[in-house]
Amino acid sequence: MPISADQAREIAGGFLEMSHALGSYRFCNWSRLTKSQRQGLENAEWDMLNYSSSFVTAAAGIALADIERDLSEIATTTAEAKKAVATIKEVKNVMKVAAALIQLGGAIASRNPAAISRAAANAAKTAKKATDRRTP
Amino acid sequence: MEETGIIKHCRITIFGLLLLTSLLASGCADLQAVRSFAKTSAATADYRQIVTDYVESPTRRKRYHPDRYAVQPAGTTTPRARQKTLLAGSQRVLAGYLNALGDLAADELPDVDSEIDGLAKALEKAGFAGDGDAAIRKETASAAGSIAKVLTRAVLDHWRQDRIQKIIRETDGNVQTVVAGLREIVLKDFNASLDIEAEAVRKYFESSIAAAKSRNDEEAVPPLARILMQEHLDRIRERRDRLSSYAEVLKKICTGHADLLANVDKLEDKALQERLEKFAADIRILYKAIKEIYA
Repeated sequence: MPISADQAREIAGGFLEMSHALGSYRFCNWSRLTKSQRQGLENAEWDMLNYSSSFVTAAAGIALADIERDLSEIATTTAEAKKAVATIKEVKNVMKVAAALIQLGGAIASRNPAAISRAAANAAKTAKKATDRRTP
Repeated sequence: MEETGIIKHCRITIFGLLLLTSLLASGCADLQAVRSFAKTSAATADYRQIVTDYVESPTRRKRYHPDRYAVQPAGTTTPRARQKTLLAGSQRVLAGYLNALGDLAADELPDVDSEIDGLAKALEKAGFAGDGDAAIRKETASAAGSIAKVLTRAVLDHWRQDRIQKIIRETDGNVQTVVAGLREIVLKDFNASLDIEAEAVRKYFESSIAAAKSRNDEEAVPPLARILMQEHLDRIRERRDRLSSYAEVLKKICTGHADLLANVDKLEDKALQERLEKFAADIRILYKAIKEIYA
């Protein structure tokens, strides 16, 4: 069974305390200990400190994994919000296209082939410009 | 007689449109406070230095290891370097969301006046509006254009408000979880990393002090070592202060967003706006404090 972030934190805290206690013992008994005893103790202290650090890293990793799904959902909503902002900005383009289409309608109603052709070309150009602006 | 009836009908229609327009326009929400809160939160949530401090902690600690100590903290350095991407990514996602919310609540709606004028001209050019046989009289088209300008703005504003409400409702749960998770990592794990660093500093300098004392040197090395140890511990304390300020920023974001959800149907509420402005001001103060700790 995988450990939880809090369990990893507890283990990390335990190693840190042991390292600290060993250090205190070494400093208080410095003269009574031989050089090799001091070195042995100090090595153990650093080992415990490194274990503690590894468990802190593990705890952060577990906590990060726990929020991964929520992060992904926030990212989805962010895309939705950005799309809404883009839609508001697009209203301008929609109106430009509508104006071009109205002119095309008028040209069709007038049954003037040259006017129809001109208005159709203009409507297509306006619509293309609006679409290009939407494409990121 | 018949013309009088038409005029009366037109007047009633125009009056109705004006009433609708004024009703819609009066319903336009002032979202400046939402924007201010979201934008300030976005700017501070993405504070990367604390992540760098955490990731580089094992490397800083290495300086205090005795030379003969063979085991290097690479076992921690590599996973932390990998976590840097995830942690910075989490901050980026949160800031990105708050930024997008701020953009959506931005005051400036697009100015559609020139486009509506363009539409009126298009109608006239197409022969649908104007003098003579045109379907709509020029004056009527012009009046309709003026109303359309207000209506468009009002409709856009209502639509925007609706999107903001939907987004806040959908995201609050995720925002609370992510912010609480990040806060926990910052307060517990980043702080624990600093505890380990402080212990490494203590081991390094206390060894020198104990060794000096064993040689009956009480006056030369120990006082100097204590001053240096204090300086090194002060740097760690500054990092710890930054963590507390950043955690407080996250707490404000959490509370502010929850407040937004609780009042999502009355975003224009004056009391809510005041609270949001206060959250934004507090976040700015905290951010300034973090920056000053670095200076």
